[in-house]
Amino acid sequence: MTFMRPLALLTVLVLLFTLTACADEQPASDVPLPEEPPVPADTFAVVDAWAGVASEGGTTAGYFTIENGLARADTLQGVTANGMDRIEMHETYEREDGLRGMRPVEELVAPPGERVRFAPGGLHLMLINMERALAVGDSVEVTLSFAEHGAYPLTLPVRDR
Amino acid sequence: MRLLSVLAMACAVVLAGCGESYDSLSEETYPLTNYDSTAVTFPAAYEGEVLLVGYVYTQCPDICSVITANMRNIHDALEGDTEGVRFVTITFDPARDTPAQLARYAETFGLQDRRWDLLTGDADTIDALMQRMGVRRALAGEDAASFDGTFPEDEDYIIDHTDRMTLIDGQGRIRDYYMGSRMPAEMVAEDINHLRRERS
Repeated sequence: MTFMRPLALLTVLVLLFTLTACADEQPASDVPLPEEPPVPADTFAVVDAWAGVASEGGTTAGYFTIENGLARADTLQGVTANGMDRIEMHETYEREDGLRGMRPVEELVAPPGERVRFAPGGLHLMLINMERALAVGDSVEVTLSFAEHGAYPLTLPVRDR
Repeated sequence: MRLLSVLAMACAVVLAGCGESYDSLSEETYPLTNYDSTAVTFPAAYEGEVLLVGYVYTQCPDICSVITANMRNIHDALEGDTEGVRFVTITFDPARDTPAQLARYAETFGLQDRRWDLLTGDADTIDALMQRMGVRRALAGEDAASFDGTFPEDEDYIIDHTDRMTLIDGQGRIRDYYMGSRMPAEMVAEDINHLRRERS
């Protein structure tokens, strides 16, 4: 019996290894982001703005990062723009059933000392039914509305994704 | 020695079992239409080619664009050698994604001249194909199980959906599934090259 136990253990380990070797490949996990510098103190800015390409009549997304280096929070309450049927704030999220969903965001708090990112696969502006196509080199003008800072004009250069 | 023999046999059985049982589409027929309005019978039209299939709807501004961009990155990772490979994007929103709309999408994303088809079809065919490929859909926030493939007529709706790409070999067998928006391009390109080597 004492001789059999190590062999039995070896058998189990080898079988487990074999099963692992033929298992389906899983999607790689996210590559860790490099450590980013702190939000510049005593400033409030919206940076890294861009929009995706779009066909005429199509829908695309806009992205940016809010950097709130102030001592108190601000709240993004809405966005307006010309050249499209309408513009809304949305969020892509993973539903409990595993589907990728999209839902409207009415307002968003930018906490003091933090960044809030609108980025692919997450928060985004939804530019609906564009009056003209958007290609690389074009840009879109939007106005963000903050509770504290009021109207914040922003240019979104169009990028290829 | 007898135990080692049993162990070797067990491993052989496990390895044999996990390498050969591919889900095959070769006996199935889905009549679809390409973005240039030509008829395409999926998957028979691509027999002998390795297929990378993605599923999107063109009014989706965020995650579907990421999926299409990721497929384009995979295409780029093949470094111009796309012989024996076909990229296929299938819409799951056939009411809005007509061939003309898919043509605009192809132009916007620069998908022409890349051995890349964008397919749509009638609602029943698309619904059957999405179920077959494990692509679930639901109107935003609603239960996927209750979705019957019918969309509202007001053409202003959002679809929640599975984030998926499928790799199919030249014999119409499903060889892998990937998360469409996040699977690293180089890994998928490596799998495509593996299947191409298998053919030769």
